[in-house]
Amino acid sequence: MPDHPSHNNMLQRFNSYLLTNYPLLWNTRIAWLTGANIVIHLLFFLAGVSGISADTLQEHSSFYSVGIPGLLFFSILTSLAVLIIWLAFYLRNNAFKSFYIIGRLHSFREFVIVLAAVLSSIIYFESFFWGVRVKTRMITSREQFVREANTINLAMAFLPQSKQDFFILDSCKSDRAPLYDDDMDYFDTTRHNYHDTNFAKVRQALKRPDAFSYKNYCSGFLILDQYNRFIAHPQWIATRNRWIDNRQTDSIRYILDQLFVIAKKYHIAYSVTADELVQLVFADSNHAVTRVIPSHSGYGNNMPVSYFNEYELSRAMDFIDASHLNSQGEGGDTGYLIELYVALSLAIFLFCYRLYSKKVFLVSIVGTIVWTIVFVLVTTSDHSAGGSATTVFYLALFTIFTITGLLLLAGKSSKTITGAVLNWHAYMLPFVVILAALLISDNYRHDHSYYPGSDTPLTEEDLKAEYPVGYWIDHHMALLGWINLLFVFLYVSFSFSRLSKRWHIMPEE
Amino acid sequence: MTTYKATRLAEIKTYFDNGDIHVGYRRLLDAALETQDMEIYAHTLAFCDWYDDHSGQDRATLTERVDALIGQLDKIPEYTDLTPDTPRLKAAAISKTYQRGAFNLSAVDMDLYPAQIIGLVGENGNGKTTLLRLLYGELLPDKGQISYHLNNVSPTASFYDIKTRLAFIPQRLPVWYGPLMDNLQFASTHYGRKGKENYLWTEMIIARMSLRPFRSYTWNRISSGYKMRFELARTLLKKPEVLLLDEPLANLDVLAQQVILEDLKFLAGSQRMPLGIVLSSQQLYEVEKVSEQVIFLKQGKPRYQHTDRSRQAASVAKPLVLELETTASRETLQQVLERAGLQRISFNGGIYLLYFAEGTEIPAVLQRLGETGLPVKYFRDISSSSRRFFDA
Repeated sequence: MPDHPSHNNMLQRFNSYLLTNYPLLWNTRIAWLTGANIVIHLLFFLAGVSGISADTLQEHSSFYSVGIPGLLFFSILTSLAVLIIWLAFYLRNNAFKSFYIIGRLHSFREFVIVLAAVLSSIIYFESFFWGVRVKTRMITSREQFVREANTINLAMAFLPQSKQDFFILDSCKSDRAPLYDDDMDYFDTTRHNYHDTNFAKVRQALKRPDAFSYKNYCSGFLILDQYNRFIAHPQWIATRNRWIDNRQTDSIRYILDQLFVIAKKYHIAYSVTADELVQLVFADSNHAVTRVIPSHSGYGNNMPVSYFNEYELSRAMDFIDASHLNSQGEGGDTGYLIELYVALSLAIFLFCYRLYSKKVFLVSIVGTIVWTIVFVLVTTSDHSAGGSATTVFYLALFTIFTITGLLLLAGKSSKTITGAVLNWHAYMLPFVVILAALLISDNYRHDHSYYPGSDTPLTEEDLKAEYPVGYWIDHHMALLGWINLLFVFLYVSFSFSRLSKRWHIMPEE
Repeated sequence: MTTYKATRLAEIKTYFDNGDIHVGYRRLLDAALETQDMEIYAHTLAFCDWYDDHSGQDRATLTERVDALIGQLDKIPEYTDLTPDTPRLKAAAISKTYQRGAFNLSAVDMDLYPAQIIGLVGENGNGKTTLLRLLYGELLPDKGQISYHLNNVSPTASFYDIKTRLAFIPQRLPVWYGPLMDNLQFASTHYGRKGKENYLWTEMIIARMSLRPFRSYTWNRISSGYKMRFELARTLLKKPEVLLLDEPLANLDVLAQQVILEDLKFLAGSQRMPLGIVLSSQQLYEVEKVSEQVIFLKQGKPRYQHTDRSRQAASVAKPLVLELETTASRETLQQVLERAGLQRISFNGGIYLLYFAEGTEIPAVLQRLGETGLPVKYFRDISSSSRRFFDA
């Protein structure tokens, strides 16, 4: 016999099973939300997969530009819709407020569920990005990408797009080499900086026959040191020089043809032939760059015959590179951390609504608005205080709320005010450790980064030895972020929920 | 020896035999609920299904089915409660003063035993709700002490645990969301009833509270009377030991008031789940019918009245006090009833309160009224009623 005989279909029976066996799972509707979220994430993922192709890789500078315009906005709208519908069901019943018998871990479990529900409902755009990533990886595997990068780096040595890259002084031999500017007349004696040392050096170099030799190019098109089998520049430079010195035209032609295959794959605009480029390499006895191949076809009557759009190629390659990184980009996993903090803050907000009365919640919201206005006023007048007044104000406010809340709770006085103060304490909690760390870090960087009485910055070793705490914090902010996240989660799950239980049974005066 | 169970089952049978089907049906459900036997519940619910569809048309089958169910109930061993009869809730001289208003609830004492109903009466704004909220722990008393001695809660338990076995139904009922059945099953699961047992328990309580047609209804689809029944059902699923009700009869029609009060009386008197009930109401006589004690609150000051059902009822003789509605003048009444021992009359514009000398008997008064032929519209003995405390 089912738990409810009138429930004949599978979904009803499942719902009834949860209701009569796992009331928290039933009440939070987490099973249904998970199901809905799987479908929505899958749709976003598929949208990501279908939003990109080999042809369109060169059109996008980041994941955000793929697919429909305002994807992030659409994702947020979907999140709002899902969360509102979910809340309409979740908020129907509350065992805690009804004084039903609940287990010791009830609050912990409920907070875990709320956090999971909120987190999974606010990151639909991540599934879209993963769809884009997966599709890009399908288009170009990691191994293939490295092969293509190696081909491009070598081939671009025979495709001069700017004379500057081939200038003898810019040839990666020295960090302090003066830069060459094609638009500058270095022999104009009327220039105010004509006698400048760097100008003189450039003039001297320009007189050499190999001033713009193919053999000077060394910057490379792509640097992928973190990938296995990536050929670093000394190796391909050696290959290039060998080919030029031995006049291996077939090898040069072959690598250029390979470049054009890649260009075709990614729909890169170009109009130049390998033969034409090979000819240019040997047009001068010193292998000087005699002609630059522009990156676009030009406009009007001055339309050049040959061109190669290196910007499109660069965009496509950067996009593939970003797709092969597991983190969210150069910022490492900061993006994920931010998403977790947003989810945690929303979950705390929701949890407070579940644990406290509507009146307390309303007072806490109004109060939060007031505190925020005061906070903004402090922030705007913070310039004179070196930027730390905002943080100090935040930390001071949090300390006041914490102490006041505990005192009021112990004194069993003014239930509404006690609840509101405890709520403010909880709302502010996620950012306390981070802000305290930032305050220490800022203070350490501003005041202690230089040797006393001099403009000389401290070396890393001296910094580490002199200010170990500040140094450690400055170099472990992300780790602190993760540890704080765990701490806040455990604190809210156990300690804060116990305080809330004490508040809940507290009589009114 | 006739046992409690046998008496009870015989009484149920008599109800059905006499055609008092509705009351018999409710008492039958009470008896079934009392067993806490899932098999009995399943049979009872099957009977309820049949009853809903056929009871009005097929009297012979009804009798047959009732007999069968009574037979099954008879086989269940009698339950004997060996727990000592101690108060579940004890309030000693609790008082409360509101800082902003001039209101002061002064020193109320109360001992609430299992299976006992205490009525709280008084005009609006005299402290009934304040007293109930104090007893539920929602308000902090200024003086005095409240203690709870609940069977299912350990003495070291937190006040949250105590509140899991206390129930307070306020006058303004809280809104619930979603279908009625879901809400009740949700409550039931938290009290340890899982799976099929959960369904049977909840369905039994729903049947007992006459909520069967409304199982899938939401808050805004049922009347205030049934909302009160829903709250009672939800409360019963918690198996509370103390039930506090604030004006449960407000917004109910006369019939519904009687049914609710009768239900409360039977629920309180349950052998397995005896309840101590405190209920406030303006319906003085209705409350007195079911209460052992009535506390009359006037401007926050209590006056205690033990009713005829009270275990502490004093056996001392009380002076006779009568309520009388008549078109006769005050002078005529004085003249007619003086010889029957009338000492004082008070009149509120509609009804006379007649105070007689100690030892006066009602027949003597009725005889005088009959002899003189005075027109009597309404007559009530209020010698043991807290009605005496209301100003005429």
